[in-house]
Amino acid sequence: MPAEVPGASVVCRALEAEGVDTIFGYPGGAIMPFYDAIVGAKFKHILVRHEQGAALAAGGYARATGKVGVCVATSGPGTTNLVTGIADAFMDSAPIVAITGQVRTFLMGTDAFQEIDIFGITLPIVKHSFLVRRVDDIPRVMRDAFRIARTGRPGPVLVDIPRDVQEAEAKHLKLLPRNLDEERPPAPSPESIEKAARLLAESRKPILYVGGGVGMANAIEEFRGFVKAARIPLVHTLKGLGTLPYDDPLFLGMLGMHGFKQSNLAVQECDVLVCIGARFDDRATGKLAEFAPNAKVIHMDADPSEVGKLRRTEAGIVGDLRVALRELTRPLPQIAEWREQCLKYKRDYAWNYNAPGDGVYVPAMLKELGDRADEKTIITCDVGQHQMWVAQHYGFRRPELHLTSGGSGTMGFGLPAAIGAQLARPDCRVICVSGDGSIMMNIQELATLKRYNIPVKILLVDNQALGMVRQWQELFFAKKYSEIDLWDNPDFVKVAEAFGIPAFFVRERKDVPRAIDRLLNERGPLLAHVWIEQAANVWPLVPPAMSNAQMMLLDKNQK
Amino acid sequence: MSATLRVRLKHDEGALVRLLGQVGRRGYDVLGVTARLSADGKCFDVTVEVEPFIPLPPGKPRPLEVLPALVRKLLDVESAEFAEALRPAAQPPGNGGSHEAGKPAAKPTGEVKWEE
Repeated sequence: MPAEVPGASVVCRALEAEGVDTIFGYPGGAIMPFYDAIVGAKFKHILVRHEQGAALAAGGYARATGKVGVCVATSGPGTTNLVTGIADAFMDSAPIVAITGQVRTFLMGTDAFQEIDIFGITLPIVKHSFLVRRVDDIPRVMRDAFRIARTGRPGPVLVDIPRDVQEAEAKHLKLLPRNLDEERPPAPSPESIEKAARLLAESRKPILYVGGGVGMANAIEEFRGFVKAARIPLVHTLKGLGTLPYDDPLFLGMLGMHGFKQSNLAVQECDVLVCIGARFDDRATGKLAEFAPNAKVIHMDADPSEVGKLRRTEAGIVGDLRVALRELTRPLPQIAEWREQCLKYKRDYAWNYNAPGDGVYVPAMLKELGDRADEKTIITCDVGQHQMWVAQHYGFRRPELHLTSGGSGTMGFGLPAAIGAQLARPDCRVICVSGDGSIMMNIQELATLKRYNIPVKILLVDNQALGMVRQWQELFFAKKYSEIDLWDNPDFVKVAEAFGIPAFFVRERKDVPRAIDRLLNERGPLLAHVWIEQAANVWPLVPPAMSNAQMMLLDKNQK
Repeated sequence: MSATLRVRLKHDEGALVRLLGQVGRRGYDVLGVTARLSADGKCFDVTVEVEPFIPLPPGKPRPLEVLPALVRKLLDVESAEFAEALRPAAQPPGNGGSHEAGKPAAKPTGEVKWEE
């Protein structure tokens, strides 16, 4: 680095030193020195059309690769527009670094133009945050920000840099090398492993309850080795889907509010529940006091504060999941009868895809898409009914192929996350499954697709309603429909075409195979606009605050 | 039941606010706080008196036991311990169910009822 460079250039060099190849952002007053410095940088800047798109795209990039995603915004409204994306990353433990411009240090605290205390606003939704007051601190802060974001339980880190710090000359600063040591969590205690092994050896009806933490810990191979040896039936959370391939016989399905009957039934009956990288989220457990009521719990997690947070744990294993899973890998011959029972449940309650009618049956469409897509197809979702149908019916083979806003439930996640994922994984096909409510939350990012010719495919499932809210109003609010009707949606094909994105309609079931052909095979961005009945609901459903044993299974096609 | 948490905190940007947020916004009432900057100005010694927030039924108060681990997650925190060991009455119940401080463990029924 030259003897004297502005702080903004130090930030750029630090990004390069971290191996960043793509950042997502939107310029403005307080971040202008940084935008001046990135000209000629080794990384690519993607200009989104709303800062929320930048944060969610960084999240998509991170989720698809495990690498740190980076987003940039100016002070004030630029930063507040990042907040939803930062919160989304926090709730799903996605590693991102958000770099924000701030007003000059002497103006801070004076209600200056575009001054917002983004450090304060984001305190509850970041893993950590920095306000850089001295240019000399930039190398250390940037190195620490990346290390913190990706280590242990990953999460978002905010780096707020006042404009005068970006402009200040840094003298003889050396970038700090990436420290890749100590990035694995510590090994769990032998005592905790021993206790868990004893519980498993004594169990007759164990179930694995598997969340997104396994993939985040890069422990997929160890997990699959453990399952292969122990042959314990298992259920996944929304974020855990793909940890074991969906077509493995031991995989019963997703559990929880929209889980399959065999999954919830097995969990309710088990005597040992092995929670691996999950957190007893209310959407997974239903009424917590009645969740797995007969089970002793083994809880494995990198985050010690998750163990015992919501459910008493007989054996808490805190630390590196790879080590824990390797240590617990052994056969459990005594559970053969239970395994057969679970597999019988799976056969008995298998989904029937032969729905009557000529209209598009979304579960069948998504199953066909999953069956025909290869292992290099990434699905991003928005939030709502389509999101649950994807989780239930697509069939995932790896967790990083399913990018969904689980904890936060961020409508508008799908399209920007798909942009981030596609740029991170150009070798993959990326399909965004969205709804007519969600797509409008970040539809401006169609312009980003066009500008960079990003070949994201969009499967837009349109029921002219906020479907999940409509479903709840139908079931739990006496069909008193309130503010869910989207009868006046724009013509999404024309909207896409106005942005320069090719698009087409899918009106009937017979059109689905051809539509999937196009989604899987065409080059460049593409939007398929699928019309479905407004009355379609997601089944099964555990009513709010009820036990998972009290599922509603109202689809006449299903058992 | 209240408890006193002793925290050693780096004197970093926003550290005190972050600590109080981590306690007060995640299931615990803050009943009192003292903070003293160390002689070298690098650390705060903080005591936080807390009790679990009592939610509306059927919610249950958050277990105090996990609070030190929750606080130690913060990068600014060097150590966090209760001033005194928690009394056994605050231990969570046995098999099954969520925490219900001070109440005996519910006996599992073993029944699974399905409504279709």
